[in-house]
Amino acid sequence: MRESFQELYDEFHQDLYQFIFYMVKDKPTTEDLVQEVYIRVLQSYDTFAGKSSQKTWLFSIARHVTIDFFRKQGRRKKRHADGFDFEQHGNLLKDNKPTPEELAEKSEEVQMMYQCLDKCSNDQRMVIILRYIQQMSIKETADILNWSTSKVKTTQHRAINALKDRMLQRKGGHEE
Amino acid sequence: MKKQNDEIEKTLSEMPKINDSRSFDDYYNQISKQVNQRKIRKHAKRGWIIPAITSAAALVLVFIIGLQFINTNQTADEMKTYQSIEDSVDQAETNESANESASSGDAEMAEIEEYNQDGQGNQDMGGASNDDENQQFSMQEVDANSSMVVTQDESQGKQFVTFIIPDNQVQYFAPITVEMNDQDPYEFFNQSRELIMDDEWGLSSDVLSSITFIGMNDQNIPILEMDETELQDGTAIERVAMEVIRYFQYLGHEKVAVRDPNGDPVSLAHVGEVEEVTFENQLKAYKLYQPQSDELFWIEKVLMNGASIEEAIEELKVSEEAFNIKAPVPNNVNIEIEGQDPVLNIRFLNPEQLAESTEIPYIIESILLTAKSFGYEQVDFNNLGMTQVGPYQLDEPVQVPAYINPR
Repeated sequence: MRESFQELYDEFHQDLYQFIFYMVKDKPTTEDLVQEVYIRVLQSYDTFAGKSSQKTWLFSIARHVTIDFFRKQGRRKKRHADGFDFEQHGNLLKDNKPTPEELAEKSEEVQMMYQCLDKCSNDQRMVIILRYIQQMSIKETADILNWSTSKVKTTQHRAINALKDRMLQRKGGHEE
Repeated sequence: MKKQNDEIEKTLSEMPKINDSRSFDDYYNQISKQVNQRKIRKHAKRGWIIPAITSAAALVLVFIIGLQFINTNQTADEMKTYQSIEDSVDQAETNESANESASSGDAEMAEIEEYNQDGQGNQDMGGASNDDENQQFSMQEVDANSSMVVTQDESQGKQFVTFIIPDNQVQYFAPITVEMNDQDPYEFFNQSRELIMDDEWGLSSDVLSSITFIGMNDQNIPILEMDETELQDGTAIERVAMEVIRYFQYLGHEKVAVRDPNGDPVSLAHVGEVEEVTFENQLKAYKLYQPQSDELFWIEKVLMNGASIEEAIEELKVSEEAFNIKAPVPNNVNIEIEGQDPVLNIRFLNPEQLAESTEIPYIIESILLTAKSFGYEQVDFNNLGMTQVGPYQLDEPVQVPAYINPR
């Protein structure tokens, strides 16, 4: 198992970690989820039919693991929301995850973009991360998300528009 | 506008690389520990097999010895009488079963022949015209004519239960239906781990060994005991636990109460403390899962909240080869949809494409199952160019199935 894992780790770990991090924006959670991806991959390593590339397979599993995580978070928030007075305490729900230190040395524009990513839907964010942060091609992105290339293009276009609006709002001081 | 878009794209490409502070060894140690734990649990779960086989063998032996003992105490006359009664019963049974098999066999053979004639011709034509490998099935290994659901008619007067089991990569869930014989459906849940053949079916039922039905509370809500120590491996195992308990949703419950072995709320790492789980109605698309050449299941793909039936039907055209998931509807089949609750109207726009498809039974059942998850009770299939496919009479609206993946 060590050999298979070493191979995966050497080739894909940085990209995998980054993909999940930009989705969940929290390092401890990212570590948990990366670990879960590796476990699933190694458990089904023997059944991997090689019909897709290893990279596509790994990222498809990462996508599922991340979506599972968001579903869980959704349920948890819903449960916590029962009996919660949003009028009075809504501000307490603001995201207080620390920004990563790697961001500190970047321009204000980039830091603002990091915040604006939260305003995209999960699908849009996945496309943005894979296309622009991971520098994957449209075809690779489509394979990982199991979408058509035209769906990737449409989602990418909408995501860019959403980010553009959000950035303009922020720059204009209209942020709520 | 273009300039602004370019700026956004440029800023995105400048986003920082995020570094992981954990080392390879850290990950490896954690992962190998967890993989081993899961393996141990799996082996532990299989511990029932040998005692069960031994007990069964012992029972058979006792039965055979008992029969001989009874026989040796019979007088010759009595034995003769018994023999003649047995002979006549045997003869009657043989005749009856011969008649039955002849009549059902004839009907079945005629149906299979009719389908095979169509199917063979179509397969040949399809081979010449359809190059999309993703849409091909191992039709020679899986009998396309055999339905993979229990229709409403077939379910009359019988009792079924449905287990929800993840595939072996824990990406999707397969509902597996089992017919019961006078057992208590609630107690039956606790036997589930003995019924699911993980390796043969490409499923992973390990989590069931951590969940036990222990009774009903005073509000008639099932109480489940969960061994939370077995559910700490990550978000996936928690999700699996939440899905497998939908067994009780199939029994008509909107929620279940859960507790740990000490009677306290169940504490899960990612979900938090849970005392009660309320089942949400999920919108689903049903695709084919073929873990091995001779096993085929319907598997559920849960869709996003608010998904439309049109999106769900489109989803039926998407294969996921990496997970052995096959699209039941070929990509070149165009479908127009008109939903008038409780009947979903499906119109095939290019039936000539469909006539070349060997997968029509899959198309029909996947649409029926998907429509059911959207609350439709019947589906009216139009412009299909045929009036009967498998058990479905298509010149009138078809009722959605009662159960799925009978085993």
